[in-house]
Amino acid sequence: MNKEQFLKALQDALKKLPMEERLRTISYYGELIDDRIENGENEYAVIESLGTVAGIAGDILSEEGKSLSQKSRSGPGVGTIILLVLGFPLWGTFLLVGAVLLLVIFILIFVPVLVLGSVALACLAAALLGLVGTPFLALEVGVAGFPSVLFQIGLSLAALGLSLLSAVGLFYTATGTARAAKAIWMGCISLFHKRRGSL
Amino acid sequence: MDAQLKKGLIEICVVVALKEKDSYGYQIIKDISGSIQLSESTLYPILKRLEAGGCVTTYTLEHNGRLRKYYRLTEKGRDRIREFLTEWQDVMKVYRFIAASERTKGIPGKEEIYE
Repeated sequence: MNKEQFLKALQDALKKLPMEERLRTISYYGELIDDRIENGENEYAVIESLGTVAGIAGDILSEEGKSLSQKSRSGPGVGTIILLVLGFPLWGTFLLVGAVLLLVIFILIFVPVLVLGSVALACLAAALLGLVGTPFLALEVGVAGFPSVLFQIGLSLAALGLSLLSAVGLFYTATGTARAAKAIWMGCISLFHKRRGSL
Repeated sequence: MDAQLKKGLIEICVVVALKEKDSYGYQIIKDISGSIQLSESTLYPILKRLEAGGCVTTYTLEHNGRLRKYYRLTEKGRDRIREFLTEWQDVMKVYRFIAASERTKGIPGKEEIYE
């Protein structure tokens, strides 16, 4: 085989390589053959000493395979990224709906706490106002208006009781609500971690 | 010699061949054939790996009407020489241990290793 035949055969054997790699290989061997010929060696002897085209191509292809598998392990490929970008209108919408649902759930969880808290505060305020105002009422209506005074005191005490009940209820639901909210939040985060792992 | 070990040694010899001046494929082979036996096909992937690792850069010059690819050593490539010499001090320790054990036909003491 002469130099041209050798390089042509090598080029054919490396068809699977990307063109840039193939050209680089051919020019490497072409250059080396030329250098050896320039230094007085016989063309055919040089080609002989290089070994078989199949052998050389085999080594190069296996090296290329090794370096490629190392590259693809690092992170999502270009194809994956393109799919994600193109599909954004679809999964983006679902993501948005999911986020809104999550917000609604969070708000709903806190409703009992808010209600109980408001009731407790409102009733406490009413009770205090009622109790504080009772002496003034008594002074105004006198003995004849004693039932009203009694009514006011009773109502204030009832409000106080309701306030206390609400406060107790608030105490018990607050810890449960906090735990539930935290659990839901952790659940969402773990979903995201799983997805990132599979990419 | 073990194939992987030989590849590593050829790689560091190539680095040294480029230490003082830029060089090209044929010249590199001529320079290091005295110390270690290698072929064009062995050299090619080693040069590729050195370039991919940032240890050498390449450029092309014209020579006698054809193009010749030159390789230049980078700072990172120079560091590899220091790394090699440090690593192989440990290798030499083991070598001396084995050689001494052959002489003494057993586990050598510290003095025997450095005989």
